[in-house]
Amino acid sequence: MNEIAILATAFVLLTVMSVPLFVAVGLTTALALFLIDIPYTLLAQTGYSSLTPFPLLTIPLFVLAGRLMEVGGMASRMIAVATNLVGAYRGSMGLVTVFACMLFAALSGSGPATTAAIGSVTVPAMKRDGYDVPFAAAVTASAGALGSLIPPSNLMIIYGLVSETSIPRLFLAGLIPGVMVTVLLMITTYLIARRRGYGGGGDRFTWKPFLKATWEGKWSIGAPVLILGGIYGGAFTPTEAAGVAVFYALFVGLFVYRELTVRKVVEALRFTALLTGILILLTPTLAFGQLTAFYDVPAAVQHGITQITENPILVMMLIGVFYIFIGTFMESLAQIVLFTAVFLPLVTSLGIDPVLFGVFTVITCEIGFLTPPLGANLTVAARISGISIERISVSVLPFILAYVIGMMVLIIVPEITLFVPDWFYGDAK
Amino acid sequence: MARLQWLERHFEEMFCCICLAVIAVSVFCQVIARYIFQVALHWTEEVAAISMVWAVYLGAALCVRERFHIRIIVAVQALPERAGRWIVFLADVLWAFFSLFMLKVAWDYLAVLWKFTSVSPSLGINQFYPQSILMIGYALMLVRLAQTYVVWWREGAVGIPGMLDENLDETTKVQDHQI
Repeated sequence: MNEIAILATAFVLLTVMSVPLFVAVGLTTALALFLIDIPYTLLAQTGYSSLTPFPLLTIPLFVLAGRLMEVGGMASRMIAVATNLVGAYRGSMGLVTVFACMLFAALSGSGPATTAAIGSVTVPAMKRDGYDVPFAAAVTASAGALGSLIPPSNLMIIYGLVSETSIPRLFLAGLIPGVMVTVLLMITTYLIARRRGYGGGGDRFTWKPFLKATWEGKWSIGAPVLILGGIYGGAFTPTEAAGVAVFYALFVGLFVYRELTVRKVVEALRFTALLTGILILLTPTLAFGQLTAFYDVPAAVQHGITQITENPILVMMLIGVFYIFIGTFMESLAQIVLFTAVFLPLVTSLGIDPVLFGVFTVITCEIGFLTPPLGANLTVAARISGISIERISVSVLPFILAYVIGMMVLIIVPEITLFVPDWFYGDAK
Repeated sequence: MARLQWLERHFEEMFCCICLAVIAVSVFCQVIARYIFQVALHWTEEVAAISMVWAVYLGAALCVRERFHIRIIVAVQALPERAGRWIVFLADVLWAFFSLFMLKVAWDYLAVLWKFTSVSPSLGINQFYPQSILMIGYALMLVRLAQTYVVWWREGAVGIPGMLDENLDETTKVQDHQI
């Protein structure tokens, strides 16, 4: 126990003094190896082997594919489809943003990327319609977070790798919560827009322009069909789907929409290179995870929390509060990598499905995207709209409430999440 | 000279992008081979996995230059600038120490691999070569870290080396995207 206290203190201290997280984890692991007297070469070994699992390749591939689709003109087609579908109602441009984000989320695995892709078009449009700028930015930031919930999702892939949960199952589980949160966000947008009297100038919904926009956007809508259909039709694994998505995006961008140039492709590769680099966090974490198991940290946490309560719903809420707090200043990737191993044994011992916990974790991460000081979607929305993060973070509060409601429903009625994967793959265990 | 300068600036980036392209092509080849030529390729997974490790380490070195690594800066930002700067110095010293430590550990590990050669299951190459990225990666990171300090010193030692929290524009560039 004493050794755990030393290690925990060292880790917290290193983290707080802004040592890069992978170094903080690495140094703590090295210290632990020293205390238990295990050779340090374990760090070198996991430094290589933790990056070789095939599913991990999915992440750079989806990042690349998403970027190519964004700069290759797919995002604007998605917006056109959404405009024709929901453009007539009160607060139309806001609703269009939410809906377009949902569509784009089905081909991108990242929340901030979805915010950037859709928001860079819809925020200026909302400004033109006389929307309050912080409100416009808040709608975009919160709807963009759907990118991580609606499959494919990079965060779910990370969770699946860390927790050894089936990634296709996780993807399916994100489907209904994703639609539910979309609806909640649309209701929030509608209510606020009606009170303030925004927009609503669009044409009434008629089938003809909608079908026309859908037909014109067929190559964009084809992407999620190909990706998700391919995975669930059994044609390919998620990793292969991501590889196919890259080439599909290249093909459509170069030959159909002709909006991609060699320069843009290189730029997309460079962008992916940066994001791939931060995956180095995974290398010391694997060794770290083995050590937490050695010290029985999960058992200690389990003991501590079950002393307070053994009610699964309350335990999940406690973890939710903790995750949301951590998420205000920590990146989602780090949050999932560091804490899944600690809490997962606890929740499974209370009979909670690891798939449900995965979706729950991702929703808390999305709230983390929206809370200052460190919220990726806020940062992106601030850049797009040209106002400060502080101003958006006030306007985004009602939308965070929508996410919290979604999270509560998820905890209280697990069937909503688990129904689809269980129906498709049969009950787990 | 200009070419050298370009290489200095884009070295990791270039090789990292090449690795990423290799990953995409090999995964795609696997699908094409299975559905169009009805053969299962064995080499693709291994090539892609090796490229992935190389891409991550090269990308990590790139992230040093761009200050893109995940670090919690809330506490440091709350401090007065002078104090915050010293803490970041200390953090970077620890970072450099860790890189040196990993270089040593990787050296020991690779020495064992060199002595007792093992070959990879499907390509049959000596495991020593792909795994040498451990040393290359940490060496590059160390060089890039030192470089940010040299540049910072030359530019008059204002602010925190490589950290762009002076104004919003540059900060957003740094923290723009996550996974």
